Amino acid sequence: MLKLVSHLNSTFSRNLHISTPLSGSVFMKRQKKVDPEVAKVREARKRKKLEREIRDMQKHSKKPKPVEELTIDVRRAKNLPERIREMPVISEEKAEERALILKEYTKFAHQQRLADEKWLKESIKRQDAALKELKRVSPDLYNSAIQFDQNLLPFHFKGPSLTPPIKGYVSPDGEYVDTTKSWT
Amino acid sequence: MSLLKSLTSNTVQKRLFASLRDKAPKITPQELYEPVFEDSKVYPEYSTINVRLQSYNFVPLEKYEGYVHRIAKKFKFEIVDCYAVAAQTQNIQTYKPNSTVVDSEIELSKYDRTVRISQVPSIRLPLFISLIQTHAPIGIEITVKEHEKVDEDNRYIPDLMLKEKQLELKALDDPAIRRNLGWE
Repeated sequence: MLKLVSHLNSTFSRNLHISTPLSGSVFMKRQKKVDPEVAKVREARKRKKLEREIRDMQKHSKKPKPVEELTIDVRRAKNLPERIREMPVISEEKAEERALILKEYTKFAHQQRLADEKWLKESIKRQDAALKELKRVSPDLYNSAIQFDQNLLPFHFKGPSLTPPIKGYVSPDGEYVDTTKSWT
Repeated sequence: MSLLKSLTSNTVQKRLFASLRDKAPKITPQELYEPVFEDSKVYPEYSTINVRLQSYNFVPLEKYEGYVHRIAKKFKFEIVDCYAVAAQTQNIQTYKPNSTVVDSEIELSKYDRTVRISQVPSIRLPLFISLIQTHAPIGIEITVKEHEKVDEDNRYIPDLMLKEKQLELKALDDPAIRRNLGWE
């Protein structure tokens, strides 16, 4: 028994060849010796090819994300004639009433516009005058006054809501699922 | 001779007619060979600012974007670009009370418009913002911030193939891969 084991041991150690790169995995290729000049040329060619491809791609690369509201929905454009509605007929009194309201509104809007422009002109004039005076009084303060305001940007503001908060409103349970198309 | 006369008498010579030398244009050394272009900017200016308008309601948003554009023109800012970005869509599911049974599914999209302005003097920006705030329509969100590269890149679809090629080109400089090329 011992003789058999010792015989097996000897045969094993003699017949086992290990060439160093192949000692690890089955997937390593035998590394061929490459002529350095050939390798240099190959690398230069590869680099040039990549650079040219990058340049060509960059010419056609900037595709803007499509804005749905500005594109024409082809399917719905085809059956557009089916969905054209006729304008409703408005009685004369109503039309007159509407015209009078429109006139009032345009008058109001015009006055608002004039007030805004007056405010703007005044503000700019006063700013300039104040800064001119400040420059005369103290140049240091003037220099710090015309610097950028660090607390101003980024500026976030929400416009008014349609109604004030409704008393006793019970908001329903639900879920918000973000379905924005991501292009990555 | 005039000096002696002024010393001896109390009269001062009054020359009402300009001499030929006075009539000649006074040229400073700088403007001898090139005309002088004066920079009429008194206050430091922000380089580029994005005014981003977002709303669920499309019509007031478009009108307001036009309004912001007009106001920027009034302030004599330079308007670089005035564009739309793809809307963010949400799928909202409301549940029936005290259960998870879906009551209604609503698809909302938040539309996005941006006005990009440049050459904004530091002191005029707060005036601009306050005027815009006053006329903000219902349900709008205004964000005023300085322009960054990310803002411009978000408008376009990222080109994955271009990125791959650029990574490959960069990888050629990686020492681990350069060793495998065979000539270093």
